Amino acid sequence: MSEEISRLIDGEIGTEQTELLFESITIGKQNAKSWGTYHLIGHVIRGEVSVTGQDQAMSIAQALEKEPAVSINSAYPVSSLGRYSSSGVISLRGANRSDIQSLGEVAANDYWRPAGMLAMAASIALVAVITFGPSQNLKRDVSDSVAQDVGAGSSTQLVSSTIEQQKFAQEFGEMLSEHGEFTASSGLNGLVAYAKLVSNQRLEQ
Amino acid sequence: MENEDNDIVLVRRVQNGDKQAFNLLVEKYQYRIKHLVSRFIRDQVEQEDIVQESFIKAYRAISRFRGDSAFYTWLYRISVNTAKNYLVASGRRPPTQDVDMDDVVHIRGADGLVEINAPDRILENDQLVAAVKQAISSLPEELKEAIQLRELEGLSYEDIAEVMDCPIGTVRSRIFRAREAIEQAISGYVDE
Repeated sequence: MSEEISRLIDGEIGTEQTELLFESITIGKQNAKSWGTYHLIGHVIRGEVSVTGQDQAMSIAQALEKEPAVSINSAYPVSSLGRYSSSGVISLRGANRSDIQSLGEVAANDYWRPAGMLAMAASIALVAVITFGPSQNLKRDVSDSVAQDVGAGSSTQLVSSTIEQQKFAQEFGEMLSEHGEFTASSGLNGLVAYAKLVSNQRLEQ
Repeated sequence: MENEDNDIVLVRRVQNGDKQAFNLLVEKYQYRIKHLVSRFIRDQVEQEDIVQESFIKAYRAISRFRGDSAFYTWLYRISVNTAKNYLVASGRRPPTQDVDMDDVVHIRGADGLVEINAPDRILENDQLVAAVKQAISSLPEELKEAIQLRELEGLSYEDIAEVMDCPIGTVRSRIFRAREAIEQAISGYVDE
């Protein structure tokens, strides 16, 4: 096996064997040791070790143990999505972003706090809108009201609004019912329907 | 298969969750990176911190390495930036000119830049280097010549076979036997 590792280091081995060899090197301790030693020999022969101090591979390996495993399917280490995902800047494509990764972690911590508060506020607002927001009952309430108004057309007190306002109220009720009939009376779907209504052009008139 | 292709294979393995593959890249490049960093930072302990930080940064960013450049070129840039940022953060001025990659690879010998903050480790290192050199000088001539042609001159097995006028299989065997003999000679200095 060591002879294959020697050839592998020199780039003198076939592509098909390379994967298998690396498999055995990463698994076998003795093979990994030979890999390291053979490279060290090359460094010494080339005079690259004279000012380098001790072998740091061990300490770096220990530091890496704290790091999550990497997955090519994710822009971030698999088990740390929460840790990295807040720093969306880092996920932007760019060749030299590696240097800012650690800065991104620091920034992520600062970023999360206000974002978390914002998310909490949004959740409370959502619950409030869903609870007190529009429902199918609006159809009955509004149209009943309009019917009463029309029915009591002779009464000046009841018909305090103009005909246009009544027409608008009727259209408003119809619109609510049209958009509300496909949605749940509560929950997010109800809110979506309401959002559509708010953006309807007829309301802008 | 070229040496850089080996790096790509290892990088792909790391990208698929094989941490140990990254350790092999560390084993391969730690001395070159240390040598590079020593051009920016004199203190031995600081150098080691920067080397470690550079590799950690490289690991964290490796999912975005697409192989547009060689792995070492990419690692080189990370290390230079890490060293420069460290100097700036510690109120020191980074050098105005980058270290040329070729210079880093071909620099020979100590240049007196290193402050001896960790004499024990340097002694250990000196002993290791001395042991390797001793082992090389003790090799039979044909093994010594083969390993030096490979490591020093960077010749392929085919070229070495031509230079030494022997079959390529013999070259393969000589280089391996040289490495094996040196490995055995320095086993007392290398961590188990």
